[in-house]
Amino acid sequence: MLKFFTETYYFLLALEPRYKIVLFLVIALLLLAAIMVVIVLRERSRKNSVENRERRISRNVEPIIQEIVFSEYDGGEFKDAIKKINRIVDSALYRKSNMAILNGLILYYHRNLGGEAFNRLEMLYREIGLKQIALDNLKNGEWHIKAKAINDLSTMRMGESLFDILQFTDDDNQNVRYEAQYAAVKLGGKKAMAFLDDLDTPMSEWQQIRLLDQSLKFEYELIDRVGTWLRSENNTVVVFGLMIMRHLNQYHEKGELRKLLYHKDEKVQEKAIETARDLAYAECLENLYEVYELTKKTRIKKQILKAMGDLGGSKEVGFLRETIAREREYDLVFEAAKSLKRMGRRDVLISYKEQELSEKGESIVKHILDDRI
Amino acid sequence: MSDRAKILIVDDEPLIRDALAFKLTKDGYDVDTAEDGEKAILKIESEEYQIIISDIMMPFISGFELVKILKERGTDAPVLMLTSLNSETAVLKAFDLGADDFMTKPFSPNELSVRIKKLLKNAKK
Repeated sequence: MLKFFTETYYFLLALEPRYKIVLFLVIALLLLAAIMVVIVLRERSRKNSVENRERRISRNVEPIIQEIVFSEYDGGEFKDAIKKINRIVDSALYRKSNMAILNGLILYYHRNLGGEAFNRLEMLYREIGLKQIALDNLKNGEWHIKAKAINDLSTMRMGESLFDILQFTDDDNQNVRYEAQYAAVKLGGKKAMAFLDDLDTPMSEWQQIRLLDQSLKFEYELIDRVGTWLRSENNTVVVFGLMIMRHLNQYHEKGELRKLLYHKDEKVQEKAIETARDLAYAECLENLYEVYELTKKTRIKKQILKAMGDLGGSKEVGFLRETIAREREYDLVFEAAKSLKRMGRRDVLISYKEQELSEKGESIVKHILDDRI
Repeated sequence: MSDRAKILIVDDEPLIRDALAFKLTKDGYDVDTAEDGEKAILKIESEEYQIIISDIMMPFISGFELVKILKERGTDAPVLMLTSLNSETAVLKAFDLGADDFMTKPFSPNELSVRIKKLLKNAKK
Protein backbone atom coordinates (compact mmCIF):
# COMPACT_ATOMS: atom_id res chain seq x y z
CA MET A 1 0.00 0.00 0.00
CA LEU A 2 2.78 2.36 1.02
CA LYS A 3 4.57 1.45 -2.16
CA PHE A 4 1.50 2.38 -4.23
CA PHE A 5 1.23 5.82 -2.61
CA THR A 6 4.98 6.44 -2.92
CA GLU A 7 4.92 5.52 -6.62
CA THR A 8 1.87 7.70 -7.24
CA TYR A 9 3.54 10.60 -5.42
CA TYR A 10 6.71 10.35 -7.52
CA PHE A 11 4.65 9.90 -10.66
CA LEU A 12 2.73 13.11 -9.93
CA LEU A 13 5.92 14.91 -9.00
CA ALA A 14 7.44 13.97 -12.31
CA LEU A 15 4.50 15.31 -14.32
CA GLU A 16 4.79 18.49 -16.39
CA PRO A 17 3.31 21.54 -14.62
CA ARG A 18 0.39 21.86 -17.10
CA TYR A 19 -0.70 18.24 -16.39
CA LYS A 20 -0.43 18.94 -12.67
CA ILE A 21 -2.82 21.89 -13.05
CA VAL A 22 -5.30 19.83 -15.07
CA LEU A 23 -5.17 17.01 -12.55
CA PHE A 24 -5.65 19.42 -9.67
CA LEU A 25 -8.68 20.96 -11.38
CA VAL A 26 -10.24 17.55 -12.06
CA ILE A 27 -9.84 16.48 -8.42
CA ALA A 28 -11.22 19.83 -7.19
CA LEU A 29 -14.25 19.54 -9.46
CA LEU A 30 -14.89 15.96 -8.37
CA LEU A 31 -14.74 17.01 -4.74
CA LEU A 32 -17.08 19.94 -5.39
CA ALA A 33 -19.54 17.66 -7.18
CA ALA A 34 -19.45 15.21 -4.28
CA ILE A 35 -20.13 18.01 -1.80
CA MET A 36 -23.05 19.26 -3.94
CA VAL A 37 -24.55 15.77 -4.15
CA VAL A 38 -24.35 15.42 -0.36
CA ILE A 39 -26.01 18.84 0.14
CA VAL A 40 -28.82 18.04 -2.35
CA LEU A 41 -29.45 14.64 -0.77
CA ARG A 42 -29.52 16.11 2.74
CA GLU A 43 -31.86 18.90 1.64
CA ARG A 44 -34.14 16.43 -0.13
CA SER A 45 -34.24 14.16 2.88
CA ARG A 46 -34.99 17.13 5.17
CA LYS A 47 -37.78 18.26 2.83
CA ASN A 48 -39.18 14.75 2.66
CA SER A 49 -39.21 14.48 6.41
CA VAL A 50 -40.97 17.87 6.73
CA GLU A 51 -43.54 16.84 4.11
CA ASN A 52 -44.08 13.49 5.80
CA ARG A 53 -44.58 15.20 9.12
CA GLU A 54 -47.01 17.69 7.54
CA ARG A 55 -48.96 14.86 5.92
CA ARG A 56 -49.02 12.86 9.15
CA ILE A 57 -50.26 15.79 11.20
CA SER A 58 -52.86 16.78 8.60
CA ARG A 59 -54.05 13.17 8.34
CA ASN A 60 -54.46 12.91 12.10
CA VAL A 61 -55.84 16.36 12.79
CA GLU A 62 -58.24 16.70 9.83
CA PRO A 63 -60.85 14.19 11.10
CA ILE A 64 -60.87 15.87 14.51
CA ILE A 65 -61.37 19.31 12.99
CA GLN A 66 -64.11 17.95 10.73
CA GLU A 67 -65.77 16.36 13.74
CA ILE A 68 -65.67 19.68 15.61
CA VAL A 69 -66.92 21.66 12.62
CA PHE A 70 -69.71 19.37 11.51
CA SER A 71 -70.97 17.91 14.79
CA GLU A 72 -73.06 19.30 17.61
CA TYR A 73 -70.30 19.18 20.22
CA ASP A 74 -70.96 20.11 23.83
CA GLY A 75 -68.32 21.82 25.99
CA GLY A 76 -66.83 18.57 27.31
CA GLU A 77 -66.50 16.95 23.89
CA PHE A 78 -64.96 20.12 22.52
CA LYS A 79 -62.32 20.13 25.26
CA ASP A 80 -61.55 16.45 24.64
CA ALA A 81 -61.09 17.16 20.92
CA ILE A 82 -58.68 19.99 21.73
CA LYS A 83 -56.70 17.69 24.01
CA LYS A 84 -56.47 15.15 21.17
CA ILE A 85 -55.18 17.79 18.76
CA ASN A 86 -52.67 19.02 21.34
CA ARG A 87 -51.36 15.49 21.77
CA ILE A 88 -50.84 15.19 18.00
CA VAL A 89 -49.02 18.49 17.55
CA ASP A 90 -47.05 18.24 20.78
CA SER A 91 -43.34 17.74 20.18
CA ALA A 92 -40.25 19.09 21.90
CA LEU A 93 -38.55 19.85 18.58
CA TYR A 94 -41.35 20.56 16.14
CA ARG A 95 -44.21 22.10 18.13
CA LYS A 96 -43.78 25.47 16.43
CA SER A 97 -43.92 24.09 12.89
CA ASN A 98 -46.68 21.64 13.86
CA MET A 99 -48.76 24.56 15.10
CA ALA A 100 -48.06 26.35 11.81
CA ILE A 101 -49.46 23.33 9.92
CA LEU A 102 -52.54 23.36 12.16
CA ASN A 103 -52.90 27.10 11.63
CA GLY A 104 -52.82 26.59 7.84
CA LEU A 105 -55.51 23.91 8.05
CA ILE A 106 -57.88 25.97 10.20
CA LEU A 107 -57.43 29.06 8.01
CA TYR A 108 -58.10 26.99 4.90
CA TYR A 109 -61.35 25.62 6.31
CA HIS A 110 -62.31 29.09 7.52
CA ARG A 111 -61.86 30.57 4.04
CA ASN A 112 -64.13 27.91 2.52
CA LEU A 113 -66.80 27.32 5.14
CA GLY A 114 -69.52 29.62 6.41
CA GLY A 115 -72.40 29.58 8.86
CA GLU A 116 -72.08 27.69 12.12
CA ALA A 117 -68.92 25.90 10.92
CA PHE A 118 -67.28 29.31 10.56
CA ASN A 119 -67.99 30.18 14.21
CA ARG A 120 -66.76 26.82 15.45
CA LEU A 121 -63.48 27.24 13.60
CA GLU A 122 -63.00 30.62 15.27
CA MET A 123 -63.63 29.07 18.66
CA LEU A 124 -61.15 26.31 17.87
CA TYR A 125 -58.55 28.87 16.76
CA ARG A 126 -58.84 30.62 20.12
CA GLU A 127 -58.99 27.53 22.32
CA ILE A 128 -56.14 25.65 20.70
CA GLY A 129 -53.81 28.60 21.34
CA LEU A 130 -53.26 29.77 17.77
CA LYS A 131 -54.56 33.23 18.59
CA GLN A 132 -52.02 33.54 21.39
CA ILE A 133 -49.23 32.39 19.06
CA ALA A 134 -50.23 35.08 16.54
CA LEU A 135 -50.22 37.71 19.30
CA ASP A 136 -46.77 36.55 20.46
CA ASN A 137 -45.52 36.74 16.88
CA LEU A 138 -46.73 40.33 16.75
CA LYS A 139 -44.43 41.21 19.63
CA ASN A 140 -41.36 39.19 18.73
CA GLY A 141 -41.45 38.39 15.05
CA GLU A 142 -39.68 39.76 12.02
CA TRP A 143 -41.75 41.88 9.65
CA HIS A 144 -43.08 38.95 7.58
CA ILE A 145 -44.03 37.03 10.74
CA LYS A 146 -45.83 40.11 12.08
CA ALA A 147 -47.64 40.70 8.78
CA LYS A 148 -48.74 37.04 8.66
CA ALA A 149 -49.90 37.17 12.29
CA ILE A 150 -52.01 40.27 11.62
CA ASN A 151 -53.46 38.71 8.49
CA ASP A 152 -54.35 35.51 10.38
CA LEU A 153 -55.98 37.42 13.24
CA SER A 154 -58.12 39.45 10.86
CA THR A 155 -59.01 36.43 8.70
CA MET A 156 -60.11 34.57 11.84
CA ARG A 157 -62.07 37.68 12.97
CA MET A 158 -60.31 37.94 16.34
CA GLY A 159 -61.97 41.24 17.23
CA GLU A 160 -60.49 41.24 20.72
CA SER A 161 -57.00 41.60 19.16
CA LEU A 162 -57.90 44.94 17.63
CA PHE A 163 -55.98 46.99 20.20
CA ASP A 164 -52.81 44.95 19.60
CA ILE A 165 -53.18 45.34 15.84
CA LEU A 166 -53.78 49.09 16.01
CA GLN A 167 -50.23 49.54 17.38
CA PHE A 168 -48.89 48.64 13.92
CA THR A 169 -51.00 50.87 11.67
CA ASP A 170 -48.12 53.37 11.30
CA ASP A 171 -45.30 50.80 11.47
CA ASP A 172 -42.03 51.49 9.66
CA ASN A 173 -42.48 48.39 7.56
CA GLN A 174 -44.96 48.96 4.75
CA ASN A 175 -46.27 45.37 4.66
CA VAL A 176 -46.87 45.29 8.40
CA ARG A 177 -48.70 48.60 8.49
CA TYR A 178 -50.80 47.81 5.41
CA GLU A 179 -51.94 44.52 6.95
CA ALA A 180 -52.61 46.27 10.27
CA GLN A 181 -54.64 49.04 8.60
CA TYR A 182 -56.72 46.52 6.67
CA ALA A 183 -57.24 44.37 9.77
CA ALA A 184 -58.22 47.43 11.82
CA VAL A 185 -60.99 48.40 9.39
CA LYS A 186 -62.12 44.78 9.07
CA LEU A 187 -62.25 44.09 12.80
CA GLY A 188 -63.04 47.51 14.24
CA GLY A 189 -65.23 49.11 11.62
CA LYS A 190 -65.41 52.87 11.23
CA LYS A 191 -64.33 53.60 14.82
CA ALA A 192 -61.02 51.83 14.25
CA MET A 193 -60.43 54.08 11.24
CA ALA A 194 -59.36 56.74 13.73
CA PHE A 195 -55.80 55.60 13.03
CA LEU A 196 -56.03 57.68 9.85
CA ASP A 197 -56.34 60.89 11.92
CA ASP A 198 -52.61 61.02 12.55
CA LEU A 199 -51.16 58.65 10.02
CA ASP A 200 -47.74 59.91 8.89
CA THR A 201 -46.81 57.25 6.37
CA PRO A 202 -48.21 57.33 2.82
CA MET A 203 -50.77 54.81 1.57
CA SER A 204 -50.44 53.34 -1.91
CA GLU A 205 -53.42 53.52 -4.25
CA TRP A 206 -53.89 49.77 -3.92
CA GLN A 207 -54.00 50.07 -0.13
CA GLN A 208 -56.59 52.84 -0.42
CA ILE A 209 -58.72 50.59 -2.61
CA ARG A 210 -58.41 47.70 -0.10
CA LEU A 211 -59.51 49.97 2.73
CA LEU A 212 -62.30 51.43 0.66
CA ASP A 213 -63.49 47.92 -0.18
CA GLN A 214 -63.71 47.13 3.54
CA SER A 215 -65.38 50.50 4.25
CA LEU A 216 -68.14 49.84 1.72
CA LYS A 217 -69.81 47.61 4.31
CA PHE A 218 -70.64 50.78 6.30
CA GLU A 219 -72.93 51.63 3.38
CA TYR A 220 -74.25 55.14 3.87
CA GLU A 221 -73.65 55.55 7.60
CA LEU A 222 -72.27 58.91 8.66
CA ILE A 223 -68.50 58.78 9.06
CA ASP A 224 -67.78 61.82 11.19
CA ARG A 225 -63.99 61.59 10.93
CA VAL A 226 -63.97 62.41 7.21
CA GLY A 227 -63.41 66.11 7.99
CA THR A 228 -60.25 65.30 9.98
CA TRP A 229 -58.91 63.24 7.12
CA LEU A 230 -59.62 65.99 4.61
CA ARG A 231 -57.54 68.36 6.78
CA SER A 232 -54.65 65.87 7.12
CA GLU A 233 -51.07 66.82 6.30
CA ASN A 234 -50.76 63.40 4.67
CA ASN A 235 -51.99 63.80 1.09
CA THR A 236 -52.75 60.10 0.70
CA VAL A 237 -55.09 60.32 3.70
CA VAL A 238 -56.78 63.34 2.10
CA VAL A 239 -57.27 61.40 -1.14
CA PHE A 240 -58.66 58.44 0.82
CA GLY A 241 -61.03 60.80 2.68
CA LEU A 242 -62.25 62.06 -0.68
CA MET A 243 -62.78 58.49 -1.88
CA ILE A 244 -64.85 57.74 1.23
CA MET A 245 -66.84 60.92 0.72
CA ARG A 246 -67.52 60.04 -2.89
CA HIS A 247 -68.31 56.34 -2.56
CA LEU A 248 -70.24 56.51 0.71
CA ASN A 249 -72.05 59.77 -0.05
CA GLN A 250 -70.65 61.75 2.89
CA TYR A 251 -72.17 65.14 2.12
CA HIS A 252 -71.51 66.71 5.51
CA GLU A 253 -67.99 67.98 4.78
CA LYS A 254 -68.69 70.09 1.72
CA GLY A 255 -66.90 73.11 3.25
CA GLU A 256 -63.66 71.13 3.49
CA LEU A 257 -64.19 69.82 -0.03
CA ARG A 258 -64.48 73.38 -1.34
CA LYS A 259 -61.10 74.26 0.25
CA LEU A 260 -59.45 71.21 -1.31
CA LEU A 261 -60.30 72.51 -4.79
CA TYR A 262 -57.39 74.92 -4.24
CA HIS A 263 -55.01 72.30 -2.77
CA LYS A 264 -51.39 72.57 -3.87
CA ASP A 265 -51.10 68.85 -4.61
CA GLU A 266 -52.35 68.04 -8.10
CA LYS A 267 -53.63 64.58 -7.17
CA VAL A 268 -55.65 65.94 -4.25
CA GLN A 269 -57.03 68.77 -6.36
CA GLU A 270 -58.04 66.39 -9.13
CA LYS A 271 -59.76 64.01 -6.68
CA ALA A 272 -61.54 66.96 -5.01
CA ILE A 273 -63.01 68.07 -8.35
CA GLU A 274 -64.06 64.51 -9.17
CA THR A 275 -65.71 64.23 -5.75
CA ALA A 276 -67.56 67.55 -6.16
CA ARG A 277 -68.80 66.30 -9.52
CA ASP A 278 -69.94 62.94 -8.18
CA LEU A 279 -71.70 64.50 -5.20
CA ALA A 280 -73.44 67.00 -7.53
CA TYR A 281 -71.97 69.89 -5.54
CA ALA A 282 -73.10 72.68 -7.88
CA GLU A 283 -72.44 75.39 -5.26
CA CYS A 284 -68.72 75.04 -5.92
CA LEU A 285 -68.98 76.09 -9.58
CA GLU A 286 -67.79 79.63 -8.75
CA ASN A 287 -64.70 78.14 -7.11
CA LEU A 288 -64.10 76.01 -10.18
CA TYR A 289 -63.98 79.14 -12.39
CA GLU A 290 -61.35 80.58 -10.06
CA VAL A 291 -59.30 77.40 -10.02
CA TYR A 292 -59.49 77.24 -13.84
CA GLU A 293 -57.92 80.67 -14.06
CA LEU A 294 -55.32 80.00 -11.35
CA THR A 295 -54.03 76.62 -12.49
CA LYS A 296 -51.69 75.88 -15.35
CA LYS A 297 -52.19 72.14 -15.15
CA THR A 298 -54.09 70.63 -18.09
CA ARG A 299 -55.33 67.65 -16.04
CA ILE A 300 -56.99 69.97 -13.54
CA LYS A 301 -58.50 72.14 -16.26
CA LYS A 302 -59.90 69.04 -17.97
CA GLN A 303 -61.50 67.87 -14.73
CA ILE A 304 -63.08 71.31 -14.26
CA LEU A 305 -64.53 71.31 -17.78
CA LYS A 306 -65.86 67.82 -17.16
CA ALA A 307 -67.43 68.95 -13.85
CA MET A 308 -69.03 71.93 -15.59
CA GLY A 309 -70.62 69.55 -18.07
CA ASP A 310 -72.22 67.61 -15.21
CA LEU A 311 -73.04 70.39 -12.75
CA GLY A 312 -73.44 73.46 -14.93
CA GLY A 313 -76.34 75.46 -16.37
CA SER A 314 -76.62 78.16 -19.03
CA LYS A 315 -73.70 80.18 -17.63
CA GLU A 316 -71.39 77.17 -17.99
CA VAL A 317 -72.69 76.56 -21.54
CA GLY A 318 -71.35 79.99 -22.42
CA PHE A 319 -68.03 79.28 -20.70
CA LEU A 320 -67.60 75.95 -22.46
CA ARG A 321 -68.43 77.49 -25.85
CA GLU A 322 -65.89 80.22 -25.22
CA THR A 323 -63.33 77.60 -24.20
CA ILE A 324 -63.70 75.88 -27.56
CA ALA A 325 -63.04 79.17 -29.32
CA ARG A 326 -60.17 80.51 -27.26
CA GLU A 327 -58.24 77.55 -25.83
CA ARG A 328 -55.19 76.45 -27.77
CA GLU A 329 -54.78 73.06 -26.14
CA TYR A 330 -56.46 70.26 -28.05
CA ASP A 331 -57.35 68.31 -24.87
CA LEU A 332 -59.21 71.25 -23.35
CA VAL A 333 -61.18 72.06 -26.49
CA PHE A 334 -62.09 68.40 -26.81
CA GLU A 335 -63.20 68.17 -23.16
CA ALA A 336 -65.29 71.35 -23.45
CA ALA A 337 -67.04 70.02 -26.57
CA LYS A 338 -67.70 66.68 -24.86
CA SER A 339 -69.19 68.47 -21.85
CA LEU A 340 -71.53 70.46 -24.08
CA LYS A 341 -72.65 67.27 -25.75
CA ARG A 342 -73.22 65.65 -22.34
CA MET A 343 -75.34 68.65 -21.34
CA GLY A 344 -77.52 67.97 -24.36
CA ARG A 345 -76.44 71.21 -26.03
CA ARG A 346 -75.86 69.94 -29.53
CA ASP A 347 -77.48 73.18 -30.72
CA VAL A 348 -74.55 75.18 -29.31
CA LEU A 349 -72.06 72.87 -30.99
CA ILE A 350 -73.90 73.03 -34.33
CA SER A 351 -74.11 76.82 -34.28
CA TYR A 352 -70.42 76.96 -33.40
CA LYS A 353 -69.62 74.78 -36.40
CA GLU A 354 -71.73 76.94 -38.69
CA GLN A 355 -70.06 80.15 -37.53
CA GLU A 356 -66.59 78.69 -38.26
CA LEU A 357 -64.97 80.46 -35.31
CA SER A 358 -61.76 78.45 -35.34
CA GLU A 359 -60.47 75.72 -37.62
CA LYS A 360 -59.28 73.45 -34.81
CA GLY A 361 -62.45 73.99 -32.78
CA GLU A 362 -64.55 73.23 -35.83
CA SER A 363 -62.88 69.90 -36.55
CA ILE A 364 -63.19 68.85 -32.91
CA VAL A 365 -66.86 69.83 -32.80
CA LYS A 366 -67.44 67.89 -36.01
CA HIS A 367 -65.81 64.88 -34.41
CA ILE A 368 -67.86 65.19 -31.19
CA LEU A 369 -71.14 65.57 -33.09
CA ASP A 370 -70.48 62.39 -35.03
CA ASP A 371 -72.43 59.77 -33.06
CA ARG A 372 -70.66 56.91 -34.79
CA ILE A 373 -67.45 57.78 -32.90
CA MET B 1 -78.00 -2.24 -2.79
CA SER B 2 -78.27 0.45 -0.12
CA ASP B 3 -81.30 2.75 0.07
CA ARG B 4 -79.13 5.68 0.87
CA ALA B 5 -78.75 8.30 -1.86
CA LYS B 6 -75.37 8.26 -3.53
CA ILE B 7 -73.54 11.54 -3.99
CA LEU B 8 -70.48 12.30 -6.10
CA ILE B 9 -68.24 15.17 -5.01
CA VAL B 10 -65.99 16.60 -7.72
CA ASP B 11 -63.35 19.03 -6.45
CA ASP B 12 -59.62 19.36 -7.02
CA GLU B 13 -59.05 20.57 -3.44
CA PRO B 14 -58.50 17.48 -1.27
CA LEU B 15 -59.40 19.28 1.96
CA ILE B 16 -62.74 20.42 0.59
CA ARG B 17 -63.41 16.98 -0.87
CA ASP B 18 -62.66 15.29 2.44
CA ALA B 19 -64.64 17.78 4.49
CA LEU B 20 -67.68 17.46 2.24
CA ALA B 21 -67.42 13.68 2.22
CA PHE B 22 -67.25 13.68 6.02
CA LYS B 23 -70.27 15.97 6.37
CA LEU B 24 -72.44 14.15 3.84
CA THR B 25 -71.54 10.72 5.19
CA LYS B 26 -72.56 12.01 8.60
CA ASP B 27 -75.83 13.17 7.05
CA GLY B 28 -76.47 9.59 5.94
CA TYR B 29 -75.46 9.56 2.29
CA ASP B 30 -73.14 7.25 0.38
CA VAL B 31 -70.37 9.50 -0.82
CA ASP B 32 -67.87 9.09 -3.60
CA THR B 33 -65.24 11.63 -4.69
CA ALA B 34 -63.36 12.59 -7.83
CA GLU B 35 -60.54 15.09 -8.15
CA ASP B 36 -61.34 16.40 -11.63
CA GLY B 37 -63.96 16.31 -14.38
CA GLU B 38 -62.32 13.46 -16.28
CA LYS B 39 -62.33 11.12 -13.30
CA ALA B 40 -65.88 12.20 -12.49
CA ILE B 41 -67.08 11.16 -15.96
CA LEU B 42 -65.43 7.75 -15.58
CA LYS B 43 -67.18 7.27 -12.24
CA ILE B 44 -70.54 8.43 -13.57
CA GLU B 45 -70.24 5.94 -16.44
CA SER B 46 -69.81 3.06 -14.05
CA GLU B 47 -72.00 4.13 -11.10
CA GLU B 48 -75.37 5.75 -10.66
CA TYR B 49 -75.45 8.88 -8.52
CA GLN B 50 -78.48 10.73 -7.20
CA ILE B 51 -76.64 14.06 -6.89
CA ILE B 52 -73.39 15.46 -8.26
CA ILE B 53 -71.66 18.30 -6.41
CA SER B 54 -69.02 19.93 -8.57
CA ASP B 55 -66.49 22.73 -8.33
CA ILE B 56 -66.05 24.90 -11.44
CA MET B 57 -62.35 25.63 -11.69
CA MET B 58 -60.68 22.24 -12.07
CA PRO B 59 -57.90 20.80 -14.22
CA PHE B 60 -58.59 18.95 -17.52
CA ILE B 61 -62.38 19.36 -17.56
CA SER B 62 -63.93 22.34 -15.81
CA GLY B 63 -67.19 22.18 -13.87
CA PHE B 64 -68.97 23.98 -16.71
CA GLU B 65 -67.77 21.43 -19.25
CA LEU B 66 -68.70 18.61 -16.90
CA VAL B 67 -72.31 19.83 -16.59
CA LYS B 68 -72.53 20.28 -20.33
CA ILE B 69 -71.25 16.75 -21.01
CA LEU B 70 -73.58 15.24 -18.39
CA LYS B 71 -76.63 17.02 -19.75
CA GLU B 72 -75.75 16.09 -23.34
CA ARG B 73 -75.51 12.46 -22.27
CA GLY B 74 -78.86 12.76 -20.58
CA THR B 75 -77.67 12.12 -17.02
CA ASP B 76 -80.64 12.54 -14.69
CA ALA B 77 -78.73 13.32 -11.52
CA PRO B 78 -79.11 16.95 -10.47
CA VAL B 79 -75.87 18.93 -10.42
CA LEU B 80 -75.06 21.41 -7.67
CA MET B 81 -72.21 23.77 -8.46
CA LEU B 82 -70.07 24.70 -5.45
CA THR B 83 -67.48 27.29 -6.33
CA SER B 84 -65.46 30.32 -5.31
CA LEU B 85 -66.66 32.09 -8.47
CA ASN B 86 -69.47 34.33 -7.36
CA SER B 87 -70.01 36.49 -10.40
CA GLU B 88 -73.42 36.80 -11.99
CA THR B 89 -71.91 35.56 -15.26
CA ALA B 90 -70.78 32.30 -13.61
CA VAL B 91 -74.21 31.71 -12.06
CA LEU B 92 -76.03 32.39 -15.33
CA LYS B 93 -73.64 30.21 -17.31
CA ALA B 94 -74.00 27.34 -14.84
CA PHE B 95 -77.81 27.39 -14.98
CA ASP B 96 -77.73 27.91 -18.72
CA LEU B 97 -75.66 24.75 -19.14
CA GLY B 98 -78.09 22.77 -17.03
CA ALA B 99 -76.88 23.02 -13.42
CA ASP B 100 -79.70 22.57 -10.88
CA ASP B 101 -78.32 24.64 -8.02
CA PHE B 102 -75.42 26.97 -7.30
CA MET B 103 -73.57 27.76 -4.06
CA THR B 104 -70.52 29.93 -3.51
CA LYS B 105 -67.59 29.35 -1.18
CA PRO B 106 -67.38 30.08 1.69
CA PHE B 107 -70.48 27.94 2.08
CA SER B 108 -72.50 26.87 5.08
CA PRO B 109 -72.42 23.07 5.41
CA ASN B 110 -75.91 23.12 6.96
CA GLU B 111 -77.29 25.09 4.04
CA LEU B 112 -75.68 22.59 1.68
CA SER B 113 -77.45 19.75 3.49
CA VAL B 114 -80.81 21.49 3.10
CA ARG B 115 -80.24 22.13 -0.58
CA ILE B 116 -79.27 18.49 -1.16
CA LYS B 117 -82.46 17.32 0.54
CA LYS B 118 -84.47 19.68 -1.64
CA LEU B 119 -82.75 18.50 -4.83
CA LEU B 120 -83.37 14.86 -3.90
CA LYS B 121 -87.02 15.60 -3.16
CA ASN B 122 -87.44 17.37 -6.51
CA ALA B 123 -85.67 14.55 -8.34
CA LYS B 124 -88.09 11.98 -6.93
CA LYS B 125 -91.16 13.86 -8.21
